[in-house]
Amino acid sequence: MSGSGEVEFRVGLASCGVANGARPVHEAIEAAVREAGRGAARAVGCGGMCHREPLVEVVDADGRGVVYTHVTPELVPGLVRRHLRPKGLLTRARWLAAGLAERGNGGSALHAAATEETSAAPRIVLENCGRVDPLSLDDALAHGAYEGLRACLERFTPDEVVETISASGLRGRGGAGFPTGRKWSLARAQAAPKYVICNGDEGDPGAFMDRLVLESDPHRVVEGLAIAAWAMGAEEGLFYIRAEYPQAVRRVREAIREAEARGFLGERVLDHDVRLRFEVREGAGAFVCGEETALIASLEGSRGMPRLRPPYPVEKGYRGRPTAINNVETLACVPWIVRHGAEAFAALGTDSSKGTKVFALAGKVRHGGLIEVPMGVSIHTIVEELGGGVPKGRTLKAVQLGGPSGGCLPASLGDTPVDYEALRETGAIMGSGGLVVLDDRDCMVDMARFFLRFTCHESCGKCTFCRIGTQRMLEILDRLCEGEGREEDLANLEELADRVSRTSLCGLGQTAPNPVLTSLRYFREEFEAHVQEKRCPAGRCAALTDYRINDAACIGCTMCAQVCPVNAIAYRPHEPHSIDLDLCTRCNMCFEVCEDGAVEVISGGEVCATSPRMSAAEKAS
Amino acid sequence: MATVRLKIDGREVTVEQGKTVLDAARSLGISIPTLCHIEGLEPVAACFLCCVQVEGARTLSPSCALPAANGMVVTTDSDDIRAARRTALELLLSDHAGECIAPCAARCPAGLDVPGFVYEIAAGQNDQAMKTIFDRLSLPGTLGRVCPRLCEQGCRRCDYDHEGLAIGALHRHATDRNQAADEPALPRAGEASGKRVAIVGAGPAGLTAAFYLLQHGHACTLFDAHPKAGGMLRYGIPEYRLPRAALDAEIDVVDRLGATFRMSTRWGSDFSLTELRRDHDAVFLGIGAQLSSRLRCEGEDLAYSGIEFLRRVAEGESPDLGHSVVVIGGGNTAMDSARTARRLGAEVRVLYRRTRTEMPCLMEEVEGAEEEGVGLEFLVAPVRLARQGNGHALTLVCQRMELGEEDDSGRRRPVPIPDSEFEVRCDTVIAAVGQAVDRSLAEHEGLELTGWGLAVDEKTLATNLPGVFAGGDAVLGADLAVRAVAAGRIAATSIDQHLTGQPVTGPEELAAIALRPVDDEEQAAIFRDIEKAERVPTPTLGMEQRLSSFEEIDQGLGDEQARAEALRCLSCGCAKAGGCGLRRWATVYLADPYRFLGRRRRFARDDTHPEVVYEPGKCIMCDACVRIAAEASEELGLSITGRGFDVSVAVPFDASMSDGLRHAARRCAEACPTGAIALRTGRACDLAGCGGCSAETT
Ligand SMILES: Cc1cc2nc3c(=O)[nH]c(=O)nc-3n(C[C@H](O)[C@H](O)[C@H](O)COP(=O)(O)OP(=O)(O)OC[C@H]3O[C@@H](n4cnc5c(N)ncnc54)[C@H](O)[C@@H]3O)c2cc1C
Ligand SMILES: Cc1cc2nc3c(=O)[nH]c(=O)nc-3n(C[C@H](O)[C@H](O)[C@H](O)COP(=O)(O)O)c2cc1C
Ligand code: SF4
Ligand code: SF4
Ligand code: SF4
Ligand code: FES
Repeated sequence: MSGSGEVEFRVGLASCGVANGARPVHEAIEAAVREAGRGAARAVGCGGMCHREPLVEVVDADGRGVVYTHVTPELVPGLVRRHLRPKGLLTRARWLAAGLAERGNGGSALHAAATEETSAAPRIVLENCGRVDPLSLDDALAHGAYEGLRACLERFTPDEVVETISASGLRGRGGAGFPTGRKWSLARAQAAPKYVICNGDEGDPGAFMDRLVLESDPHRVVEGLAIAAWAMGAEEGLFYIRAEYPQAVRRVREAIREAEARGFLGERVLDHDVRLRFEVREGAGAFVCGEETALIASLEGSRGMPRLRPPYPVEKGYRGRPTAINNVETLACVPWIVRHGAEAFAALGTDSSKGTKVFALAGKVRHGGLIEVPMGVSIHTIVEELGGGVPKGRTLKAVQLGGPSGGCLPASLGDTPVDYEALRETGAIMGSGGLVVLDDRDCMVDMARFFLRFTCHESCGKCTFCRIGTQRMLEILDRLCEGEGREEDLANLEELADRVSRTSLCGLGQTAPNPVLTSLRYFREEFEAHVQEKRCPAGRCAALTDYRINDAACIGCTMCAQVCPVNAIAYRPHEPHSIDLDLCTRCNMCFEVCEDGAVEVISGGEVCATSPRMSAAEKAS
Repeated sequence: MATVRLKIDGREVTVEQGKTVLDAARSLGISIPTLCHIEGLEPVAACFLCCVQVEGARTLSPSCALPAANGMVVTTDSDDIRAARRTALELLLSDHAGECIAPCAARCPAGLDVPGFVYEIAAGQNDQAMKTIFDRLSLPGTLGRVCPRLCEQGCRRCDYDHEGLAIGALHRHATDRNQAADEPALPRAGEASGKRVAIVGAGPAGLTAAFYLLQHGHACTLFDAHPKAGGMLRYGIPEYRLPRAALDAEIDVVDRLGATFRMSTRWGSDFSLTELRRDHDAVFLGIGAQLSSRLRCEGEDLAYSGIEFLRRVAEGESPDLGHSVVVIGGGNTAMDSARTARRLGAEVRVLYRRTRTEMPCLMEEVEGAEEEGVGLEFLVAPVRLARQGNGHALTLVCQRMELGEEDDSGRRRPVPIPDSEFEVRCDTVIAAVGQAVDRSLAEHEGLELTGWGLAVDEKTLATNLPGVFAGGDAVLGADLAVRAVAAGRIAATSIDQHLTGQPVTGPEELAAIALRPVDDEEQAAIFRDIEKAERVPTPTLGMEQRLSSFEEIDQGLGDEQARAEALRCLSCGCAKAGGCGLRRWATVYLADPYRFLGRRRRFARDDTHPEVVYEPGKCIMCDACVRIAAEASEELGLSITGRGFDVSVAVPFDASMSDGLRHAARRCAEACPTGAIALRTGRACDLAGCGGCSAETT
C-alpha cells in the first residue's frame, strides 16, 4: 500500500463526494501539499460513508490512517499542516483534527464503521474502495488487480474456475440469489458465440453500492467480467450501466481502454490465445431495464420490456445467443475468490449464503452509509452496532430490506441473520442491498405506499396486473393515508397483492406487492386503524394527524416557532406556545426541535408521540 | 421433428418442440381465452387472460408464451384461474375509456340498436333498418308513437344541442314507410318445431312473445278477454295518439306470422292455467294490470274509472260526461282521459296531489293537454265525493297538500295541509290513479306474487310453475309498453330454450361498459368536428282539428326530414361492440366493469386515417398493432410510450395515424382485440358527404 514513506491525503471523488463538495477539498489539498513540498494528494473512490462526505483519509508514513469527515476547503490548510509536522506532534495534532471533524459532524464517530467494526471479516467487494485511485491502472495493479485473471490463464482450466465459483457458494447479488457457479456452468455448456453482461443498472431507490464499486474500483469489476467470460467461453462482454451514472460509465470505459492497452483485454489477453472484447452501454434509465430480459431487449435497441422466461438468457439471450448476466457486486467478488480460493469465501457466512453482502444502510440510524458485512450477521447487529441504533427517544420498529421488491422485518425478528433463505422466510428478501431502518414514527401504510408508488411508476406497463393492479393498490393505500379508506379496501388490497405477485411476467410485478404484503403481515392493526378509526398510529399521515403543544411541558423556548415553515406557531418567549392547526402542514419540524417533551402528535384522539425530553447535558451537546 | 410430451387437464398430449402450451391445449380442443395472443406473431404475454397453472410453479403462466416442455403438468381451468382471469378483465375494464353501446341504446329497455337503424335510415336502406329494428322490437310503429323514449334522454346530442335525436319518430317513420311499401320487409316464420305455446293476453307483451316465438317456428295461440288484440294500446291509449290503423297493421304482422287469436276468451272463466299447461308445451302470461285503483275516499263509487272510460271510447261509445269533468291523477291514464273528455266537448280540470315535476307521464302529454285547454291543479287530493241533491252533479271535497319526505320511489311524499279543504263542483269525476294486477286469479292457480304482480326470475322470466313464463305489466304493475315488448322478447328466448331442451338462461346480454365520468376535456374530444344541428321538428295537427276529432296529432316525419334527422346521429357506441374480445370475455367471466373504479385512460380519438379510427382510451396494451406495423416495415409505425400506468400506444414523434400506418392499418384493426383500432364504420358525417376527415388525408 502506501509504503512510500510519504503521507497520503486520499480524497473520495466518487459521485457522492463530488456532490458534497469534495472537488474543492481535493484542490485545496493539492495546493497545500504543493506548498509544503511534501506529502501526496490522491483522488480515490468512495469509502462508503457517503453521508459524511467530503471525506479525507490521511495515511501516515507507517500506513496508519485516520478519516476526516465533512471536510471543507477552509479546514484543509490546518489539516495538512498538522500531518506534515514533525513526528512528535502528530498524535496531538490528530487528536485535535479529530475534534475538528467531530464538531462538523454533530458528534458522530469518526471511523468508517465498515472497516473498523466488522474487522473480523475481510472486505471483499469494498476491499479497495476509497484506497485505490480509480483512474490509475498502476495503482490498481499495486492493489492486486488482474492477479486473479492471470492466475486463471496461467494456472487453471475454465472448468476449474467454474468449479471454484460453485464451491465458493457465491450467489447472485442482483436480487434473486441464483448460484453464480450454476449459471456459469449452464452458460459454459452452451455453444459459442455467447456473451457475458455485467448488470450495472442498479435501479432500487436508495441502493448505490454498484455505482460505488464501479466508480471507485472499476478494474475489479472489469477483471470479474473477464474471468467470467473466459470461464464460460465468451469473447464479448458488455457493461450495462445506467445513464444516470456518468462517472461510473466514464471510469469503466477508461478502465477498459487502459486494460486493453496493457493487454489485460483485447485480441491476446496476457499473451494467451484468449480474446476478450468489452464494451460499455448506457442504460435507458428505467428500473425495469435491470431485469435481465428487459436489459437484453434494451441492448438490442428495443424498448426495455421483459419477456417470459423460459427460455432463460443462458439459453437464448443477447442477439438470441447464450448470455450470462451477472450483477456488479457478484462480479466484484470473483477476483477475490480466485485469488483467495473458494474456501476462504465459503468460510464466511451461513450454510446457504456465503461471503459478504454490501448494504446501503439508511433511515432512522445514527450512522448510515455503505457497509459490507459477512453473511450470517443478524439484522440487529447491523442496526445497533454498525448503524449505532435509532435516534434517542425512538424505538426500532422494523427494517425494510430489498427496497420496492423487498419487505419489512419487524423489530421482533431482529435476530434473523443475513441469509437468503432466512430472510425469504420472513417475507422480506436479501434484495440488492437497500436496508432502511424504521422507527416508531414511521407509518407502515405510508412506507408500503412509498415503495409501491415506485414500482407502479416503473412497471413497463405490459402485464395487466402489474400495470393496473399496482395502480389500484396504490389508490387504496392513498385512500387509507387520506383517511378515506373503505370497508372493502383491505380485502381488495390483499386480493390484488396476491394476484399481482402470482400473475405478472417478471420480477418487478411479482415482487411489487411485497412491501404491502409484509407490512400487512406484521402490522395489520396499523392498516385497520387507518380504515376503521381513520387513525395513523405512527402519527405520520398528515390527513389523520394533528400537532399540539403541551402547555405543562412547554418552557417557551420559541424553538418550534422559529423552525415552523408556515408560521403556524406564534413566537411568544417564555410563554407556552400553541399551534394553529389550520396553518400547520404536519411537517414534523417542531417535533424534531423541541427538547422539552412538549410537542405531541395526535391521531384519532390519541397521543401517538411526544418529542423527547432532554437533560441539560444532552441539550448542551 | 423433435416432440415433447406433456399433460394438460389430465390428458397426455404430444406436440412439436417449440409449440406453446396454448397450442398444445388447443390441439386437445381445450379452449383458453386470449386477448393479446395473435396467431402468427411472437407472443408478448401481456394480458394474462390465457394464464394457466403449471404444476410446481408459484405463479400462473401465460400459456400463449410458455413453451411446452417434457413432463409439464398443466391445469387450464380452476377456481383460482377463473378468478385471476376475471380480475384481469375487471382491471382492464377499470382502465377503459370506452362505451360498448351507445348511451341511447343502453337506456332502451328493449336494447334497440339505435345508431344501427338510424344509420340505415340515413343511408336510405329502409329494409335494412327494419331488420335491425325487428331484431329487438315488435310494434315499432306503435312504440315510435307512444313510447316515452328513455333513449332520447340518454342521447349525447342532449349535452351538445338542446335536444336528443328523434329516435322514436325515426323508427315510426321507418315502420310507416315499410307498411306502405309494395313489398314490406317483414320477419318470416321459422320452420315448424311442432311445439305449441299458449299466450294469455294479446297486449304488447303477449304479441311480442308470439312475434319472436313464431320466428323460432313454435305455434302460438293468443287468448284474450277482449274482442280485439292490442291490450292497453287499443283499449287505453286514445286514437289521437295511436291511430288504430297503425296498431292493426302491426298486429297483422303477428297474424301473418301464423298466430292463432282466441279473442273474448278469459282465463279464469273460460279456461284454467292447468288446462293450458296440459294442452301446450309452454305458457306465457301477459295479462297486464287491468284493475283500476280506487280513489280511497268517501263516495269513491261515484267516480268513473279512467281505463273504463277510455275503453268505452275506444270501443266507439261516447259516454255522457256532462259539461264539466274533473280528472284525478297525474299519469298517462289521467292525461288521456282528460284529453279524450275534451274531445267529447267537456270542460276538464285535472287535480294531482303532487307537482308537475312528479307527474308519471310524458311532459309533452301535459303540454298537449294544456294547449287543448285542460286546466291543471297541483297539490290537491280528494277527500270526499258526493252527489249534489238528486241530480247528476257532483261535489268533490278536496284538500291541499305539500311535499314532505322522499318515498321509496324517490319522489317527495304529499302530505295534507290541515284546514285546507275546499269544494269543486262538476258533472263527472274520472279516477285515474293507477292500475293493478289481478292477484286473486294468479294466486288461485298457484303462482307466486310480488308486491307488483307475478313473481318471475329476472333473467328468464320463468314463474314458479315449470314451463310458465310471465312478463309486462302483469309482472311490473302498470308500466310501459316498451318494457312489455322487452319482456315478450326475453320470454320468447327463454321459452325457445325451454322447448329445445337447452338450459333456460334468457337472451345472452353481453357485458357492457359505459364511458363515465366524462370531464370537459373528454367532452370536447367527443364533440370535436361535430356540427351543431337542431332537431328536425315534426308537423302536428292544427288545434281546431285536434279538439274536434280523434285524428292523430303527430303527423310523422317525411322522408327527407327523417334522413336529415338521422344524419344528426353521432353514431355513439363502439365500432367493435360485436367483435370485441374484452367484452366477450368479460361476459363469459362475469367481470364487473366497475369493481376497481379509479384513475383511467382518457377518451381520445385519432380519425386522421382514411381506413381506421384509433381510440387510445380503449387500448389494452396487447402490442398487436405495434408488432404488425413493425412486421409490415412501416416507416413510423406504432410504439409503446411512457411507463407504468400511463403507458400508451402511439405513433412516434406525435405523428398521427395517417402517417403511422401506411400499409398495415387494416391488419391492425382486424387484429386489435378491442375497439381501440377499428375500421371506419359509416359515420353519419361520411354519409353527409362531408368527407372532411378522410379527404384531408388521402
Ligand atoms: C291509458 C293508458 C295510457 C298509456 N300510455 C302509455 C304510453 O303513452 N306509453 C307507454 O309506453 N305506455 C303507456 N301505457 C302503458 C302500456 O299500455 C302498458 O304498459 C302496456 O300495454 C302493458 O302491456 P301488457 O301486454 O303487459 O299488458 P296489457 O297491454 O294490459 O295487455 C294485457 C292483455 O291481457 C288481457 N287479459 C288480461 N287478463 C286476462 C284474462 N284473465 N284472460 C284473458 N286475457 C286477459 C287483456 O285483455 C289485455 O289485452 C298506458 C297505459 C294506459 C292504461
Ligand atoms: C425489476 C428488476 C430490476 C432489476 N434490476 C437489477 C439491477 O439493477 N441490477 C442487477 O444486477 N440486477 C437486477 N435485477 C436482477 C436481474 O434480472 C438479474 O437477476 C441479475 O442481474 C443477475 O445477476 P446476479 O445473478 O449476479 O444477481 C433486476 C430484476 C428485476 C426483476
Ligand atoms: S411484471 Fe410488470 S414490469 Fe414485468 S413484464 Fe410485467 S408489466 Fe412489465
Ligand atoms: S372496445 Fe370492447 S369493451 Fe371497449 S367499448 Fe368497445 S366493445 Fe366495449
Ligand atoms: S391499440 Fe394496439 S395495443 Fe392497443 S389493444 Fe389495439 S392492438 Fe392492442
Ligand atoms: S397473455 Fe396470453 S393471451 Fe394475453
